[in-house]
Amino acid sequence: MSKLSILEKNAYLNILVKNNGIWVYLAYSDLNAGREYVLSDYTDLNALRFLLDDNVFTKEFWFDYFDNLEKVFNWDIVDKDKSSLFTFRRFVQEGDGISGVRVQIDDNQEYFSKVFDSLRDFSPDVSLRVVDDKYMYSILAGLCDRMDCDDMMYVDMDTYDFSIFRVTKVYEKGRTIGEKLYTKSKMSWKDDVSLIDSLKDQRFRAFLSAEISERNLANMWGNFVLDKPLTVKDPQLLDIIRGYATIQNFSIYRDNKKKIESFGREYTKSTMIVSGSIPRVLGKSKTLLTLIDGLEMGGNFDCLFDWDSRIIAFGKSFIDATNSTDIILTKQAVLPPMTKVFIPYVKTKQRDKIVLAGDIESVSIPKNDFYILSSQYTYKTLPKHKDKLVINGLFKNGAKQQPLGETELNLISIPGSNEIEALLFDCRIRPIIYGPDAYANKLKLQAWINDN
Amino acid sequence: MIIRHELITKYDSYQFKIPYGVRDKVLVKPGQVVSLGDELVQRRDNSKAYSLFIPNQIDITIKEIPQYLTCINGEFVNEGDILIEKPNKGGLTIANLVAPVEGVVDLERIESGYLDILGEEGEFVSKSTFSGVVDDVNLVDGIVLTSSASAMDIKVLSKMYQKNEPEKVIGEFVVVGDGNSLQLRADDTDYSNKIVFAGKYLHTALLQDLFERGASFVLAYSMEYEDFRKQTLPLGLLGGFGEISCSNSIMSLLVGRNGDLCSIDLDESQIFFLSDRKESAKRKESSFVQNAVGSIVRSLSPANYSMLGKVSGVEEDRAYIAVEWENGSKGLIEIGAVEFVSL
Repeated sequence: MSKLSILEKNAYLNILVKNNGIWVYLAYSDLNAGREYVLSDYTDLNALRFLLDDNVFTKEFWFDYFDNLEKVFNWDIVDKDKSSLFTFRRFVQEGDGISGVRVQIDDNQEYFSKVFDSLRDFSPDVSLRVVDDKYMYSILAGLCDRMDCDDMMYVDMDTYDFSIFRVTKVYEKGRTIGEKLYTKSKMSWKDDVSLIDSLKDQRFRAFLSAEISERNLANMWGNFVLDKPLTVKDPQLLDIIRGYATIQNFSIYRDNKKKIESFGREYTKSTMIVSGSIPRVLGKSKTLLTLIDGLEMGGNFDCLFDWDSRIIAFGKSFIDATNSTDIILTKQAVLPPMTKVFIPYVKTKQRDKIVLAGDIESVSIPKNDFYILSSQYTYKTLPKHKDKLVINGLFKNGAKQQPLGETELNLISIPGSNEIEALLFDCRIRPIIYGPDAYANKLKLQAWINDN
Repeated sequence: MIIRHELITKYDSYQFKIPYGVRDKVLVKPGQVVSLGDELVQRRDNSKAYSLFIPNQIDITIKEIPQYLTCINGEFVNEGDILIEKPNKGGLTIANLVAPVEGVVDLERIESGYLDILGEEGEFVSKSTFSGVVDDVNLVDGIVLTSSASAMDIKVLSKMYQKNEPEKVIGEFVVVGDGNSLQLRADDTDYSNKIVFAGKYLHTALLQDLFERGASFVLAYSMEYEDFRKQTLPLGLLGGFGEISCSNSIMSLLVGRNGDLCSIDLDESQIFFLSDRKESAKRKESSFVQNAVGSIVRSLSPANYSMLGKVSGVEEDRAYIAVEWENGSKGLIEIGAVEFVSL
């Protein structure tokens, strides 16, 4: 494959079929003009869930799909001739044509081969890739190098499947030896009823804080599992989903402790990428709570919420950079802004004391002080900023960062290249204990969570 | 992009099989065009004289039944004959279940806890409720026919049933009551070999009653999850769990099918109503929602779960839509908390 010219304009279409949904991305890059972006769209296939075994993915389906997609992206993508094979329009300029199409199908996708075959029949121009363990390794290992990171974890939280992939650089005598350790941990439910029944597990109940009758609890959870809404606002249902995500993470952790436990504690540069439908429903703060408590996490790490699985789609283009054969994309187009997570060591006797005093300042934002209390889980969204934002802080009252024990906090958020959108300080006293009942959990969560 | 969920999927040519036994007389031939009201098969069958749900009659679990059974399948029993004998208190007392009527013991549903006593043999003729073509007639497959059909998704099937039973259940679709009001008891109708729609909300008392009256499959819009999980018999739900909203338009669609022949595909989790060919003439619209305004949506929010409404507007950021719900209320709801449907 020939390399792309960095001066060339380019538009590339990537379709990812995963967890009964179709993600589509149209990446455009004109690095000469400093213009690059990725348009994305999601189609939930849940409406067709009982028909997926039929011949749903026909040529007409894909024709209809691309016809609608052209309107959504306002981009001419296919030549519409129903009588012949589909052809994708050659790239001419922004808004007209594409230089290539890639379809990625997750190996867990139901009726995988039907989708795969239908796309093959649809157009010979389409290049097909399978998202499997090997692919995940290549993405994570590549990102580790490209982002200069020692430890990278990809957490995919979907209703039926929770998976954790991790790549760690191997060090010998303080130096990397070029090898990477890859591990995978997974937990799946085979069907709706088994998943709904998981509610009967007493450990699931141990994490709940919603005071709701057993009957309503089962009905509400059952309906959520059957319909899989993309957004949830009901606080009781959100609490059930939070409890479910925590016990899922906890179960993975219990079964794969050695693969997971050192994350954030061992290396100074650790990154977690979070993806899947459950985080989209729960939001960032609650998702991190389920991860920290379920995986019993500590230390520091950067967290990237990959809501639209863009890293799976274009991670390789970002890793390959100018050696890329599909499209050249920079960090700005592929990686979302990060949440910096700090789970410092806090002395057990230091309850409700200030453990961090800090300030935020930029050219356009006046200096703003903030304080973090022990015993609290504080998710702090940073103000929108176009200039560099400087965050300074000092840990107090015996609190210190892990793994190196630093007490100073110095961060710079640079929009477009190294943007920080939020800070999370989990200064709760360890160990974190839930229960014994929903009422106790309600009080504990009220005391812990500080999202203001 | 949003795919519209077709609540009723139309099939122009759906192939199905009507089983028959060696004692039955088939009244159609391969290649024959069948019309509404045509006679298909003359059956000889025993009516159910009595059905007993054993755990309700005697202190015994479904798993324990074979251990204490004192009769065999096909055995003729007189009124008062012992069917089940269970010693209690180390054999000091014995609990018996006796036959309430005379007849032939049928243990076909014993694994689900039901013991049937068959009465006199009778003859009846199955008539067509659809138009179609007979493809084949043989004892292995039964009467193989092709017809147009309308299918509805069965959201969830009782799990235990799926494991042991054949992939398809075929029978007459019967609605209990008017479908709207809550029924606690079935009427005296014999529901043998019938697929019974029990209405908006299914109570376990009615469910048991229907199975005691021989129903081969019970369908409802909703029921409590806890009750649903206790069932070991063929049961399916169209809507979900709990006392949820069920649209009048869905209800009238189902009630309108009363008396139709239908086939439940357990593998595909769908019910196929066999219909007259004229029904499938409707033009197929795009699966994708082109314009949200005017579309029908079904709520997935617990506040009004399963209620249908019409989209009256879309907010600028496209994250929220304004909906006029069928109960008359209006409001904004997140687009991700609804399902776009077509009836």
